[in-house]
Amino acid sequence: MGTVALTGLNGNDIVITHQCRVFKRPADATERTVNIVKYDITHNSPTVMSMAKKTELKLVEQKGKPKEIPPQYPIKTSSIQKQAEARTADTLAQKCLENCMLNGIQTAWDRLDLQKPQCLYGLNGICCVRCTMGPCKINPEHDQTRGVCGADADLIVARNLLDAIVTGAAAHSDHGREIVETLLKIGEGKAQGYAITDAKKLQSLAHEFGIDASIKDEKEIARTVGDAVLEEFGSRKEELKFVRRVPPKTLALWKEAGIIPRGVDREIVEAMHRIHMGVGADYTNILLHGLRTSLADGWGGSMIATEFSDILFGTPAIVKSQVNLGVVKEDQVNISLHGHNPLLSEAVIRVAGEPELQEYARKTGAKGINLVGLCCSGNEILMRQGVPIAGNLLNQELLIATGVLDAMVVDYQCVFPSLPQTAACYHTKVITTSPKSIIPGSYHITFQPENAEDVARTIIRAAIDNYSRRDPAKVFIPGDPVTLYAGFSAEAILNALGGTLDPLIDAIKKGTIRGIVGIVGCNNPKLRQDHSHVILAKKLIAKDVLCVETGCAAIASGKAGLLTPEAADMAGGNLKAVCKALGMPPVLHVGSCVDNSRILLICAAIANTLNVGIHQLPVVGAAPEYYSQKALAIGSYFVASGVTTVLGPMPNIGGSAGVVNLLTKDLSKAVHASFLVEPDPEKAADRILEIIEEKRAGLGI
Amino acid sequence: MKMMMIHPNRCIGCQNCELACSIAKGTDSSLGSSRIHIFTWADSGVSVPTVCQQCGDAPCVTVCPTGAMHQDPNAGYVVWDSDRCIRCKMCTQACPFGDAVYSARQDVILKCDTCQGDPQCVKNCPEHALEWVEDRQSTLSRRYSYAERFKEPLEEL
Repeated sequence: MGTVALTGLNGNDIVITHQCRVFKRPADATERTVNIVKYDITHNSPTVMSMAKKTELKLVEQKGKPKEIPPQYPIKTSSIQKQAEARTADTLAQKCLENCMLNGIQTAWDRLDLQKPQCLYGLNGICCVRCTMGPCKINPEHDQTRGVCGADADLIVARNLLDAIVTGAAAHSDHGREIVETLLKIGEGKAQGYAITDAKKLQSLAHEFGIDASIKDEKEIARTVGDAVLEEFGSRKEELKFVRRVPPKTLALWKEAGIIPRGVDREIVEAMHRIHMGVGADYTNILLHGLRTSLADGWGGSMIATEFSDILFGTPAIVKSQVNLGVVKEDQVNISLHGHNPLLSEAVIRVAGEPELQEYARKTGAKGINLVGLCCSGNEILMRQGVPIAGNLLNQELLIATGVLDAMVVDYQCVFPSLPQTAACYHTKVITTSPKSIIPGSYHITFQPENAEDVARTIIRAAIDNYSRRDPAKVFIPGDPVTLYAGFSAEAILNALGGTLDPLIDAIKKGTIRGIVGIVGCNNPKLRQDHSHVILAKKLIAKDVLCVETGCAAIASGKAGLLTPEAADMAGGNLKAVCKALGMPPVLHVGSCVDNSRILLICAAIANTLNVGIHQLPVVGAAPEYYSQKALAIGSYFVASGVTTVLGPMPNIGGSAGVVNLLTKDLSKAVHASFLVEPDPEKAADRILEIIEEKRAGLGI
Repeated sequence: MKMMMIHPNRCIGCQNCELACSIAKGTDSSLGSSRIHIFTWADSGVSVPTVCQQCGDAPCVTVCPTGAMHQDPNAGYVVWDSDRCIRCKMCTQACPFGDAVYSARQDVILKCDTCQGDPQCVKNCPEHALEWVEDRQSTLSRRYSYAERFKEPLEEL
């Protein structure tokens, strides 16, 4: 076993690197055989390995002088310590997790262990539960080669994958829509406290959408632009407006492949149509539409979200802040802002500084109000307002377990339904704010642009009221926060380089920067938290590759100290020199997950300068620890745009050799990029460096 | 020495073990490579797994003309050696359980080799119908539940 070369095998073979086997379609096969890619189910779960023997929790008796133990620290057994270390590389999270395990507080890691062994039909995508003729599965062992309707493994896997991609695209796009609707409300004077912050960007977008330049009233521009952008979501257009931003050579590939995105909602509806029983059975045709839908996200819904969030709240500039579970403060009212949409969190930030609320907090005995972010909401307010961020996906339950979180305020996406269960062990109030995202056991207050600030004040008051309900015996702040730098929007990067991308492009041409890698995506309890993100980033910067990061990946790098100028010491000599000269970190925090569109724009800008397609650039994507459908959408739009993307966890598609082949090999015929699966970050780094050198050779640099 | 213990009363017929075996052992990507087989009776909902019993005095070993089927003293199970095998298929006739299976398409004898002592089917059984246990512990649960029947009446005395 090990890495097998891609050359020298015929088109029927599937090859996956590392821990997998080569499967050959037998020459004399007379009936359809199902090609199963081996997926080593134990590789990605060190917790399963360590839990294979159920270890008993025992208090180890201390002989001799008894140790003085504070009440909230029962003696840790080494098995709990080992388990926590196996589950996460985030040292503060380890301590929090030990505390949870000792106190019987269930986390996502525990629930994953309870789910194992996971169903291999599901894991390989060969389970179809869509219609009432089913549920169907593929298992030739029992002559189950087709579902009741006749769908074979390829079709079932393709439909399941399309569903995942478009669910992710829908999440990003709905978020984008809400931002545009708020812009419209600003234009109508109905958005309490919201305003145009980056007027220049609004003007520039108005120009891009062909709005009459004679309109001078900002509110009217807002209304007109808002109306024009909402058209992007409909069925009237032949192509999205932002398709004009795509380098011509990349656009030509999309035209050839038939994947130019037409309308944000329209592509998603067509995708859901195709998932219905009996709508075609060609997996390539189905997944090409999946690519098109993902492009309507990346160059559509997500880009709209980013651009219009910049207009409403400001285009990010370089900002210094703090990260990890230690950002909470014992003597202040702690409120975490979790979810994805900055509409809510920006309103809360705006009112938190008001004198009445500050006074109200002081009356309760707190020194002040401490806002902290989680996940992408956290990233949005970090990028623009420098608000400290408590962690990424797998930190959300642990943050409650610090015992000092007075309110966990959420909007939507990536919010564990288990939060009220965790909060019930403490005084924390979980407060949902979107009618799209209601969790039993939490509090709800509907948040709208019309009454945004009033709602924000109510939420803050509820948190302040909760401060006195803290149980001092349960307080457990696992350590101190560390510094990070964020705010690297394309505009901020341009600014730092003196107004033009030329210094960056010259460095790439000269080879002082070999290439750029976008490390994106989530955490996944099947993998040691943050471990792959950090190893990958460290290995790449050591070879003079600049890393740009978003989402949970960026937060992981932040916790590991990589988002500081001092981290340049870990970089290779050339990259180190560039970073030191500019005072920049070797790893740049580019934003939230919708801000992956910023990476697309940077790629487009470089490609346009060099007059090449994006696929020719020495740029590679990586999602080493992803879990979500959104991540699959993002991976798809990166690949469709020409950026080969390495995934850590294998998507649930192993049951179809055709689909695996399409994603890992055949796609490159259409878009000159493909997916790779490599769970080992060291091996992933090696492969990425190879690809970068191949691209450089292709460009003759 | 560890051995496989099957509890058919726990088996739900989910076939996860067959998938796991095919994935672990299949050399040509066909799911028809499983060395363990589940039989389910839909009318009664009963499911029974069957697999090579790694016999000590194995008929398949006795009958094999080349020694391809042989006992591996170190491993503690019956090994099939593809290089020595002449595909005479006498082992498939000899096995009283029918768990040596010849696959013409792959040209192999499908027979469980316990995955070198780390059986994947056991790991993937959600109901613990398959257990990989020390030989003297294999019937522990059954002995225990029988003994438990005496507990209450004896307590009352």
